[in-house]
Amino acid sequence: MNNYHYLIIGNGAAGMSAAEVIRKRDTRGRITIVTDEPYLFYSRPGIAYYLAGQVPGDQLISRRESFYRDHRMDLRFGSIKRLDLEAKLAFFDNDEPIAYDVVLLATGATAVRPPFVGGDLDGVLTFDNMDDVKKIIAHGRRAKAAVVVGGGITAMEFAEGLQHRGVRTFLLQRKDRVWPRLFDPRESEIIETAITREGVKLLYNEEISEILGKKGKVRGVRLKSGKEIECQIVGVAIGVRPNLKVVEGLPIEQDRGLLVNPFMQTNIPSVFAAGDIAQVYDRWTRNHNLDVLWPSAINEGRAAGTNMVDFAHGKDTQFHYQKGSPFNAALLFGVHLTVIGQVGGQPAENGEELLHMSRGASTVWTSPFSSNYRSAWDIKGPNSIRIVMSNNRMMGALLMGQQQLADPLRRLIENEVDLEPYQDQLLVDDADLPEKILRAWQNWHQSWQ
Amino acid sequence: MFSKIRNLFAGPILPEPDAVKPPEDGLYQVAADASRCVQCGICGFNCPVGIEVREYARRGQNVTDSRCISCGECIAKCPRGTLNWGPVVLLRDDNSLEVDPDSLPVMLQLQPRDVK
Repeated sequence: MNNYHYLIIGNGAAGMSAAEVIRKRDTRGRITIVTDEPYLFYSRPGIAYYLAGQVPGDQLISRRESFYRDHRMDLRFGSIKRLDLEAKLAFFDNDEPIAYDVVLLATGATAVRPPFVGGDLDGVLTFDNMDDVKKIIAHGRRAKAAVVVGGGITAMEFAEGLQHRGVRTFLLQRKDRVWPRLFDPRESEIIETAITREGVKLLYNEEISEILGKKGKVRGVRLKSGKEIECQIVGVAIGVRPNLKVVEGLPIEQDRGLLVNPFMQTNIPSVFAAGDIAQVYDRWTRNHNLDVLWPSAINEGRAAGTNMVDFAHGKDTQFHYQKGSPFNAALLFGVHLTVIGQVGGQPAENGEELLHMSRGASTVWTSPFSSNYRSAWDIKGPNSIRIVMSNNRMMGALLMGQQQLADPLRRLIENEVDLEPYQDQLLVDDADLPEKILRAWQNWHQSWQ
Repeated sequence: MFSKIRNLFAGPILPEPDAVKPPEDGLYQVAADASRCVQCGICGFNCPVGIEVREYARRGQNVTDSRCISCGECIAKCPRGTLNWGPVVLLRDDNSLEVDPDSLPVMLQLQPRDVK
């Protein structure tokens, strides 16, 4: 029996969960993980809590050397610059080749560089990985004020973290409210209230026209309105893009990410992809979608790993991955937020989202519906629930504040529960909505048990 | 029971320190919803007795470490709502899991664990 070599490019959630599954299913095979970051596996979403001072950076590392050793995972620090698909070879930056039987591309996504004049000044920072946070913390010690630009979860966490570190922070919004593509105006308002309460200053309908510098360092920004703000940090969180560099010039099918079949396999059978880089079929929107989400990356990594073992052994790949409802939970300025499935946001304008997307988000959330949909609301102070239904099915939900119904809603959505008997009651905006959801869920749950 | 749910919605956004104490009736352990966990380790970092809570959270298991003093710090500090009080999971003679359904308070009935 052969010892097959599994090469995994990327040491994030997708790469690690693939490696774990491979080791479980093939105790003899060789596993090599390549990472271009100088760290063991760490919690990428956790960098927000590190920046906010809730946890030390070292604590984010959740697999120690002993884990890699015990599971015989060879971790190589470096970057793979190209693949030879015919010879099944990967090449490191220094042209050192490494042979594989099957390879997983789990290279993730990277923050989009600032497109402004002055974007290369010292003090213009992104917030996307462990090294970024270390830089932000170092700059934050000397900075008095910061301007953060961006509309998603990352931008909010960036602003919150800087403010916590004693830096007076401005958060620029291109539109007249926060995250208008995803949030309803009332939901934006809940978050805006929380942001303002923390002391972060929100500026609406504003964009950076130029970053101003002095001796190579940031000294302020000029906005499109002509207004100038003095600051020492410009935080750029305008989105991420899948890291596709390693497949440049290769005949691997791609769109915005790498297109994979239900086995997480690209059109080249020995090349699998998972995580932020993989564009996976979604049965609700009937499209291949990109998720830049931790739970999606874990599930895709496991599916890919399972099938890679079969592939290496010359068997048919069997694990048919069915993408679940994209889901994320976050804590923004003290407000708990959960987004599940399609919540009926607005389509992208001028193809802006075709260029890059927000970390911690899915293109499914704001995908247009293929049939009629209706939504219902309940909002009490800082707590809100919004459900979206179509054809007697729950399609999506967005919860702020209290989260008790997050899990029941996720199950109703994931399992495509027929809610025909409840639909008319559910689709009334009133204060009893949480109770009605609970009742529908309990009835289904009992019959299902 | 439904009125209790309504009260939950009228409550503060974040649990007050007292709110994370386990319910007084019945036996409870810290339970985890693995799908919400991102392995940041805030739970274990705040554990006064040094339990690696995230290892349980990763597997969606109850924190069965005998050192657990049920202080609820991990539940209160988790930024993603991964942890909650759940009924103690007992082993039957045949090693299958047993849960006393009467010990489930309202909040926990909302978040059933996959225990059989």
